[in-house]
Amino acid sequence: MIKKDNTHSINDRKSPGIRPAFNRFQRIDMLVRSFVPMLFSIFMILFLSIPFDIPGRNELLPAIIVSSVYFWSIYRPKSMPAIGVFFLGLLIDLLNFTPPGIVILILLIVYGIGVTQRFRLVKYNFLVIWLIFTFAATGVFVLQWILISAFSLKIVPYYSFLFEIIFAIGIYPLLSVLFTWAHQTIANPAKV
Amino acid sequence: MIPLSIHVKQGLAKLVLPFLFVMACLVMLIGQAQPKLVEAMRLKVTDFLAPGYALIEEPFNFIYNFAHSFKDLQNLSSDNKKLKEENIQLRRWYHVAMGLSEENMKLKNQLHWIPDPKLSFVTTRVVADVSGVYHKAILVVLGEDHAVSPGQVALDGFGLIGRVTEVGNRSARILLINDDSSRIPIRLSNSHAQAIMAGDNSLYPRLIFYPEDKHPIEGEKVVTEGQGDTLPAGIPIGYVHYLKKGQPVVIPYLPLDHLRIVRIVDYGNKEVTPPDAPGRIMPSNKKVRQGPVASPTMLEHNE
Repeated sequence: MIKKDNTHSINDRKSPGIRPAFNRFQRIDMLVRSFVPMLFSIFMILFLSIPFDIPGRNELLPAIIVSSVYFWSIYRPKSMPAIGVFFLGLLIDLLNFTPPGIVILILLIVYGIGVTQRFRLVKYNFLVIWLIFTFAATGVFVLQWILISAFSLKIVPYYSFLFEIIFAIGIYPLLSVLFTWAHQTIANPAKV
Repeated sequence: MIPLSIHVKQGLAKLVLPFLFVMACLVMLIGQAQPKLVEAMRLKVTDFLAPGYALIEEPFNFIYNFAHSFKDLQNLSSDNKKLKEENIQLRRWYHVAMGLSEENMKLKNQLHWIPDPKLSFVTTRVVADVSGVYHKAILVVLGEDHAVSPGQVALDGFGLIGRVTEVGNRSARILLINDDSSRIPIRLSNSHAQAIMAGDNSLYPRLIFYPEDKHPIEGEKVVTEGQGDTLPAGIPIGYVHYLKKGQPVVIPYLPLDHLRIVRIVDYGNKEVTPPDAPGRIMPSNKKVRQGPVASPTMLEHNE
């Protein structure tokens, strides 16, 4: 990438040339930037458990985390590694006193869809990605409902997962605007 | 780090996701097979995070209060007027209450009434709403040397909100009365009927199993029934409201989703012991506890 003054940007690995090695602060900066998606997700998990007047708080959390995992698994899986997704799920499970493992499983499924299909998905426009997310979210939340019903040996109320699905579908465009901005600015390790 | 060839590295990278899937299933199995282990881990995590919640909460509390103070400023004069009128009313009620309590004491003296045992309670702050999508619970923060144990009763300023289910070193979890698994025997104050209050994850627990000939009356008070030796009798909960015909619910005095301060009261009752085998319930031979309400301040507001 050539800047206006005909020099290369410092961390532009694609263009040929010799450039100085990164110093320590640039490394720390890059590290922090690459952790932004994970930090955002962890912060949301903690923030949404604070008893504030946020309507539908309990249904909002899985919707936001699933959207976040899906977006970053497509656009920068290095910032949302599989092991990180596993621990996000574990954190939600441990904090929320649900039968453990279910949230881990549904996050990994969404992550798997994003990561394996990412090269195909990025070619499509936003609406198609959103549509696929809609199907994925519906699938995993229904799966979550089935698993929780199975583990607690009774049919748990179904309107909760309807809310989850509606929130997830509704919040994905908003979050993807935010994430796209972050992807190019604060969460971009190449922008030191 | 073991030196690996690029091919092996790529192969391993492909195996990470399937391996994690297997791990997730393993976690699910462990959760079912060893609930104690998972419980212990949970309490470690919540104990660790309990002070951290306050840290996240504080800046937002500040903004929240700031915004609210603006609203208060706008309604200053009308609020003031309302408060003054209310104050006159309350002063009148204060004298009535003082008279009644004196009379009550005199009557009790004449009857040689055995005084209710003094209750010990702790007041704690709700730090987190740990409700998931499919259950309702809150997390409270406690001091290091607390005496809270599972099975104790949690009350807000007005009445019952739930029971303590798990206790860690610095935190405790309270399962709320609107949780899907909550079933509490209650008594209706006016129709004197008994019923069961069943949570269904919505804000208002439903009333079920009330007598056919005594339907709950709209607006009447709901208090606990000391049946089954699980809860003391007479703790106020809320009032009856019909969402639609034939569907009575209990509306708690304070909304269950905005709890900030709760009291955990030790009534001396032990936790319910589960029966030895599923389906076989031993009849309890302990006496049903009839007695104290939560505390003098939350005595039923008698008409």
